[in-house]
Amino acid sequence: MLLIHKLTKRFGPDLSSAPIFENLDFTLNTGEYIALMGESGAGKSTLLNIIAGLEPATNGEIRLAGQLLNAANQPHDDDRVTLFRRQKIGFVFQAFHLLPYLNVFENIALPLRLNNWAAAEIKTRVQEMLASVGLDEKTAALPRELSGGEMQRVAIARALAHRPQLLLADEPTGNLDPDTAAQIMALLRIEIQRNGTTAILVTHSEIAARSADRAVELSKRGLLPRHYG
Amino acid sequence: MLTRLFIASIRANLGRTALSVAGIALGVALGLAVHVINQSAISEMQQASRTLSGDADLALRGGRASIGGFDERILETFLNDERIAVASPVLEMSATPESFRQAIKFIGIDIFQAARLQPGFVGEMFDQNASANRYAVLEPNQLFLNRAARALLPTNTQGLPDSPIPPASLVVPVSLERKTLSIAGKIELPQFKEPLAVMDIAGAQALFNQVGYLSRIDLRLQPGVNIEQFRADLLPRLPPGLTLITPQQADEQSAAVSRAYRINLTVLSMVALFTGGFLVFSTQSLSVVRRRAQFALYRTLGVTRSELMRVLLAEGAILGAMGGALGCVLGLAIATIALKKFGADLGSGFFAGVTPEADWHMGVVVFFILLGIAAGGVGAWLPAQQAAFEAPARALKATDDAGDGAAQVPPLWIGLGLLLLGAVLLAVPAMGGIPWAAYASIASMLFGVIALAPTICARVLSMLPLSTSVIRQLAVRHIEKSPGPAAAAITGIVASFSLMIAMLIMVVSFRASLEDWLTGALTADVYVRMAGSLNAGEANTLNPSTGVALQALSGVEKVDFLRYRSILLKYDMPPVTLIARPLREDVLASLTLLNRVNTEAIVRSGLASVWITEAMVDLYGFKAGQIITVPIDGVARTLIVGGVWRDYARSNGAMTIDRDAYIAITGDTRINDAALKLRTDADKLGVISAIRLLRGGERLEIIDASEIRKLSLSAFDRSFAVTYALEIAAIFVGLAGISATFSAQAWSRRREFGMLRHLGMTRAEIKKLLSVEGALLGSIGAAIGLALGFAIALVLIFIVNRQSFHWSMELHIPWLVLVILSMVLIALTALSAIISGRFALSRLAVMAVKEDA
Repeated sequence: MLLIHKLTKRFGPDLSSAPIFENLDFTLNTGEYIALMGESGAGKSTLLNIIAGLEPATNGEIRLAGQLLNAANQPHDDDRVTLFRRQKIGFVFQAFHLLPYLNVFENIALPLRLNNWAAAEIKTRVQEMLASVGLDEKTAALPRELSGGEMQRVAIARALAHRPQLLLADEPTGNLDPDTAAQIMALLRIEIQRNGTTAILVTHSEIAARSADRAVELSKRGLLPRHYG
Repeated sequence: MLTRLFIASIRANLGRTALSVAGIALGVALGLAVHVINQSAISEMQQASRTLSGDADLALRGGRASIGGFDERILETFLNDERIAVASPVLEMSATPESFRQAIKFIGIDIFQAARLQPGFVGEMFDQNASANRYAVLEPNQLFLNRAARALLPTNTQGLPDSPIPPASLVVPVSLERKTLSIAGKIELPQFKEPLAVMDIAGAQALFNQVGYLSRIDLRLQPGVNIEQFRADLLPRLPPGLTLITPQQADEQSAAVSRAYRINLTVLSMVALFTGGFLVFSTQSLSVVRRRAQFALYRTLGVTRSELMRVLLAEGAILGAMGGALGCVLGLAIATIALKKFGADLGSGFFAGVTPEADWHMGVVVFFILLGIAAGGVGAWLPAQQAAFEAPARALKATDDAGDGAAQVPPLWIGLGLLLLGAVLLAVPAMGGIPWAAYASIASMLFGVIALAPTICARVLSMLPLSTSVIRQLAVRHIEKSPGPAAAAITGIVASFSLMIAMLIMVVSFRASLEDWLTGALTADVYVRMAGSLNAGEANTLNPSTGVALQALSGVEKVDFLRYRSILLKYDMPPVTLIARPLREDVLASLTLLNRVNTEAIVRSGLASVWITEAMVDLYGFKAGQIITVPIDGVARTLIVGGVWRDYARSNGAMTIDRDAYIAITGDTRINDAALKLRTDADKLGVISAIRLLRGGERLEIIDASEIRKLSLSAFDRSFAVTYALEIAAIFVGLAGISATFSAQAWSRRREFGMLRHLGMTRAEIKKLLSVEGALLGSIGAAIGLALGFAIALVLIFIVNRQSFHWSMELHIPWLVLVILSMVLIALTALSAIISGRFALSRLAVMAVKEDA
């Protein structure tokens, strides 16, 4: 499903700085759900951004669903990668990032509208997702009327509404209290499984990481399996 | 902390800070330049007038000061009044000597009296031997020139100014004659900058065919005589049409003539300062948004609200002070250059030919710097308040974009209240001839609409059908749900665009009305008058033989003769013009008559009818059908007002009377202008050539009516050129404001744009989103600006112009231009949104989704 081969990332105008990571090799199978851990500054979010095509890698290749997203010998085609991301990838952020001026329904419908779903299909799918995340009573609510947990539920529904092949969740429980965080992680797990989505969860929390199929740690030594103590 | 915060703010917004300073500088510069140019002209005119009056306590004046005005026999009254120490009769005329490029002022004085008031009148003879004869100055054909007049002499007599050489002569054309005068010497009146020739009064009266007439009598009272008491005692006993005024009153009157025009121009230049204040508002809003977390931190560390507020207000004030100081330097430079290159006339004709030095003092400069500071402070007020009153915890956390740093929605009652106040102010009459209330009404309407803009934005967008395009939907939803920031973005545009539209509609209406008026006023094909008549006034008349010769010319169908008189109706008002001309029905039809009484009423009254301009209605309260008293040649004449006509030439008022009736009343058959109607088959150029060949024809000014029309319209366009420049400047300032607000929003919405990029929106789509938002805001701004501009135009046309200049105009709306301008504005706003929102496309926006992690 996701193949990362000899992936290197450097920053700076002439890419002369020390690499954030170097020669990463990694494979993620379809439907697999992994937790990506590592110290602050290890490059977890950068890796997620490169996988999503939001920034180019310095070297190496990424293949998602058989499609080459990023190769050192290819110029970065932002539009192609963006359209690919629109269809194939979903995101859940720590800060939810719901559009404050759209209601719950409209926020969830956003990726469907971007992918040109028909209005009737959108309605059906959004209602399905609302029911899944337990917010079918809050369809018309604006984000400011929701609790943190509810906002993250909407964010999960939005991330999975268009049935992406890959879900990238970056610290999705970072802004939530432990109880709500546990509920959200459980919901995320259920929804990933229900939709058959491959998922990467970036987290510092071992508790959150335990909800994944396996965990890997990003460090100077590369991406290595993480074993819980 | 103040310095550090300020420097950091400037660094972060260098370009926009510079733009804010430039905006304020522009407003201050224009305001100061207009003030200095006008003030210099006024001072110059007042100083000139005071120089000529010397130490006089009072002056007896008739109509216009520069023309032969009243019977000199009144002088005897003063000579026999023991309260008067000096009574100095003066005849003031203007004429253009042959080989001179311009008209010069001729002053006829009684040297023995005048020298007691103004010693500078005592001339120095070039011929030293002649100086021995103290009565040489009484020779009727001897002229004494001041430095400016000597500088106009042809080169072969240029030696005159500084060395006594044999006297040269000067030929002065008067009517059809050429009168030769000798230049006997010079006078030194350094305060009088315009060209001046002084001669004996009897000589001047003879020269200008004004024997028995005086322009004024300057009086100095005996020590201990109370001036006001003397004046009050004498005024009722003066013949009609004469008044006694003090030098201060003369100053006030000379300033009053142009006051409305000067204030109009100053108000217009203040529009630039107003938009400069908006620029500070936009820049400070952006700056506050960017430093939101920083301020929250300061607040958390113990900085109080008022301390933070003071710092931010000080920032605005410092920007204002910088702009004010720069603007003052620029304004003084503009004024100095403009006065040197173009003189003091900014297009109105009030100060035509006046070329003073820039007259300013530190007080004025300080005032304009303070205006700049005020504009900066007021512009910074809302952003400062917003920063100071935001909850620090929320700003630090910044997990949503609801408090995105732009203005919040003001309560509805504020906007509606201001609009209501604006409407009420329209009913308040002018004060001191200035439409202060109407200006206040415009400001009130402007601020009222600005306060209502958020509500209008939200209401309009909520009525739009839901778009199927996700980008359009996002754009509409964003503006609808965040009307405060949206309104903040368009405030500058609404302000500048509405003022531009208002000025445009007013100028187009004025121009179209002027064209109509010119068509009616210029019914003849060719006009003939003595060359230099415009400067020489009513005394420069055509020779009767010329009138007869004009009538006899082949190709001429009809000649109408016109006589102009300057009449003083009220002691404290400028004189009005009495025009005697044939008033046949076809002539009346050609006047833009606004109302008239029926002919029977006039016949029944048994009085001669006089047709008055709108200014007479406004200034003297006259109305059609009223019986009025008009002092002509010292006799009060009773006339009936036949009707009211529109006149764009004389804002102090004019009356027209049938020439036969005028001659019957006064016996004055003199002619100032001849209006020639040609036969349809006549060759106009041939007729003009034939006029040239008449006796003295070379000294006639022959004007093709189409040329007058062209010149009048080009003078109109020239006088409004400064307006167009100000409008364009205001629009760019408005666009700069919208650009600053879009930048602020792109920054505050960075997480939103970052999220949209994560969701798969391409850069092109983000750009499209920005442009749709820009175009939507531009459309709303243009629509509000159009509506407000239209309302302001009505105030300008029907109230400000009427109260300032006492003339009305028809409303003409340039629909096509308005549509094109609106389209251009919408396109520019969309473009500005894309350019200033480019941050939304950057990697930083993508990264911003992690900012609060």
